[in-house]
Amino acid sequence: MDDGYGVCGMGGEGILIELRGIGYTYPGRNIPVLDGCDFTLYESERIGLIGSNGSGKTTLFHIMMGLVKPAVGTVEIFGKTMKKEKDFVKARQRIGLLFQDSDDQLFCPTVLEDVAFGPLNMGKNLGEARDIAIRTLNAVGLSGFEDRITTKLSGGEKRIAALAAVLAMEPRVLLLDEPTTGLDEVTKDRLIDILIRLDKPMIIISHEYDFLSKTTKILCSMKQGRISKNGGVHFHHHIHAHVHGDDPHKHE
Amino acid sequence: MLNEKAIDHSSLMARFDPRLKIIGMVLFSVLVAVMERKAAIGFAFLLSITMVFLSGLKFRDVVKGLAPVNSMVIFLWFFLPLSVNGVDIRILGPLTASREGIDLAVLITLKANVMMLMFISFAATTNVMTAGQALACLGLPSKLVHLFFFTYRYIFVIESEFITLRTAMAIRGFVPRTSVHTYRSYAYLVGMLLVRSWDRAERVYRAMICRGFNGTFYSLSGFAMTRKDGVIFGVMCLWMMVMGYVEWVVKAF
Repeated sequence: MDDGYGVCGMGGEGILIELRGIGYTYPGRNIPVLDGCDFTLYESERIGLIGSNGSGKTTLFHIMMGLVKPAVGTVEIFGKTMKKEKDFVKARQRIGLLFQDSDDQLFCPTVLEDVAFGPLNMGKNLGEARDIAIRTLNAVGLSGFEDRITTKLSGGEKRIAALAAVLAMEPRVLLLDEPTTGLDEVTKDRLIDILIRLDKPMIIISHEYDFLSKTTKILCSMKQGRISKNGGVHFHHHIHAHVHGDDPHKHE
Repeated sequence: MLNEKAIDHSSLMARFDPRLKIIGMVLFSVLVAVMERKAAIGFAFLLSITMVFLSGLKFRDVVKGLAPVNSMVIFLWFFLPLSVNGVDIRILGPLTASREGIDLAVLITLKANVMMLMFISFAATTNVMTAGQALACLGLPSKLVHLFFFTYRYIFVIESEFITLRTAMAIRGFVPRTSVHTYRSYAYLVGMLLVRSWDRAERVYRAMICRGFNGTFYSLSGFAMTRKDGVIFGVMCLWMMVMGYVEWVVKAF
């Protein structure tokens, strides 16, 4: 199916997302949060994005999705310059954004309905949407959760279900906004496992180096409204507290 | 829908076309609301209890569903016998109740329960997504349908935010009193809740747009009318005619 998005568009070899000279100021503030920000995501790249609170990481994602309009600068997705809302409507179906708060994302009464929401919007019929939803839930280890009520899930289950809802649209790129916030170690490991198995380019915002070192290959940092690749940070091993103490436990 | 349990799809009512279910329920409720003869209401009860039976509900859940409406009705039992004019019946010392008042209270109690039974059989077998879609199908404006739908989904989230804020106040020693400080604090609480709901609404909308939402909802349980739906609806209508006949035509009962 030709959806109008070539793998190699006119933006260059294998460029998926390209931001040029993006500037954005929060309403009611004087200092811009993004100031002449350039960024490129290439095919098969997995990027970890770090930066202090309020440095504009989430805003950057929302600009890529066309949810927030930058004051200046251009957004190119799959080689196409995004000008109007209409351009983004098509692009959004190919980029999956996982929100910080899963309650924002899971709004249908049951898990199955929520995961099927995206595919139904993309024009799949009821049977196809249901099949996709069940298949996706199985893939993330949530089989049997189809009829569970979304509001009654645990925080970890909500996050994984929200991820399934994003994956059900079969996006070409994933944008994950602090996916580990509020998760326990077990769920975090589960998430890492799912993300490693996914063969997709992605950008992950996180404050956890450990998590990023396991799921991404390149580290970028945001400072003064700009992004620098491997901005003075590199992954390394270090010693940390052994939280289990003397309780009997296994290392796997 | 009421108690947020997953719907048991095996019952006859659950498989009944939701549009016909809504039409039937509305017709039934209007009819019961205007009826005044107890015999006719008895016939209405037979229909609604049959519908509850066809929904495969547990007795306990039905009682639970009836509890709220009866907790309202109980107040009528205090006021109507004492306030309606008519033949007096002495109950205790100088206290008298009127026969007409008691009659009215009985009538309202019966009507409310009969209608509620019908509503329970509808609510317990229809999920919110389907109900919303059926309402849209019946011509309800999409804005109202969305409102209905999101109220249901986010009322719990707003409640939990309210509890969080209230706890945050309590751990800093807030005790409600009759004072300006209390009123001001509660005003802040409500204001903050509004601000948060607004922010939440914006984020939810963005999340929906990201998943290709274009203003139309699709339900997984798509509905198509079958011969069986027609038969159930036909039987309902026939029975409602019987109710009307008993109410307005025959005088035998």
